[in-house]
Amino acid sequence: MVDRAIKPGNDEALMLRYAGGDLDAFQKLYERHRGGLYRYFLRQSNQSVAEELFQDVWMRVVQSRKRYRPKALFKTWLYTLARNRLFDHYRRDAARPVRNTEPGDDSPEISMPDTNPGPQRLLDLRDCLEQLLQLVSGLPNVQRQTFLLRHEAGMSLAEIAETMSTGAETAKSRLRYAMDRLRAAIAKECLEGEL
Amino acid sequence: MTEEHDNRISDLYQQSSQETPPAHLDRAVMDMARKSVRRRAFSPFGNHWVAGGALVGVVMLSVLLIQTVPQQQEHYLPVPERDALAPLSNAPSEMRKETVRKRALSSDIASDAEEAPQVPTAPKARFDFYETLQEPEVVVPEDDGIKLQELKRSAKQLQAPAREEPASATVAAPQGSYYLQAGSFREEAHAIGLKQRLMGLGFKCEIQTVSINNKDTYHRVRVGPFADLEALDESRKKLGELGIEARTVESRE
Repeated sequence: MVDRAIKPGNDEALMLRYAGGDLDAFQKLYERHRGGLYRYFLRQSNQSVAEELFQDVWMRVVQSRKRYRPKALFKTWLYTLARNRLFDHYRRDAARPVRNTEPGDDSPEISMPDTNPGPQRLLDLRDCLEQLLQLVSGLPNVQRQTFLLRHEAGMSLAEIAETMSTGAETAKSRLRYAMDRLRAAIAKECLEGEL
Repeated sequence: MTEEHDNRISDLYQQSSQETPPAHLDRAVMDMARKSVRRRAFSPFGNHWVAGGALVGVVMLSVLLIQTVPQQQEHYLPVPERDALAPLSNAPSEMRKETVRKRALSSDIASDAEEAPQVPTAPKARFDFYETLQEPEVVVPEDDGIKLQELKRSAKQLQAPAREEPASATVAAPQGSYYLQAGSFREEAHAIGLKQRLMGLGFKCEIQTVSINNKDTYHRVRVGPFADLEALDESRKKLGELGIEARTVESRE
């Protein structure tokens, strides 16, 4: 665990200010992390579950504000809470990480999307994005977590390793495997030309 | 080339950052944060607010109980649950009213605690904390089967054509709708959370916000309405499997 300086305006300082009763500080902190945390859950469940888990995590932040000590980065703490809550949910509901499960969709496994657009039409940005999101949801658990911590929380490999209680090298190879898998599965058109 | 493609994937993924939490979720979180700050800020006991509050509460309750229990004792007489309805139509008027009043106070089939005083002949109690204290947590008796049987019997009896004066002395009016109350919360956010969880599991549910004695507001999560009691019982079992003990309530709206 690295000793980190608390600078005015960074997450840790804002959390400490909120612990002292400053609601504006919480609002800034929330603005900073709401999108990333929401999508972190959304990519690993469906919308209603994501909303429930998102709210639960912020409730825990609120409830533990007095006990908060900036030993680690706020975001590693936040996403550790998020990760634990998600695993609780998986355990309790035996839920699968399926994106946008529709009623009647009882396919037992996530299938990789068809990357062939057919001869009639070319893939546009929206198609590519939809395909990528499905591929991310279909990644093995640890790879998906690593990818999301990188891209939603903006974490370095060391921070990912700390959040996932593993070594930096492991985090690095998980991220590499995730990217390899995505690169191999996504339509080639999505990797070329202008976005 | 690999690195270039990886950057491409990262850039593409960033396009999804437009997906943000819905406004109601933002409001719920900010409300939680605001209430937490406000509660602490106005505490007269500083860091010892829990101990102080508990002490004051115990003293107040003790005094109230000592003063009130003798007068209220009759409300807690044991009531024969299973056959309470049968003699109602033949009993003298005063006895019937008394039985109804006792049932309203002793049985949770009739209605929620704060609705009990609506029974026409119930005397006005000196204190209202009996009703108020029942509300924050929903406690369900274990004998679900008995409750269901009673509800069924009530409904059958009330639908029988030869009954006299069923409307004013009923526990379960035939035109009412049945719900399962899965929880009742002071915090709206908690109610919304449970509702969303249940809706995600396929239950039809709604939040009913009630004010008790114009003081305390509770947000109830209700599953239903159910047209028949079989469906109600089935949903109650499913909720039970999820660890949610639901109580049956009847809405007369």
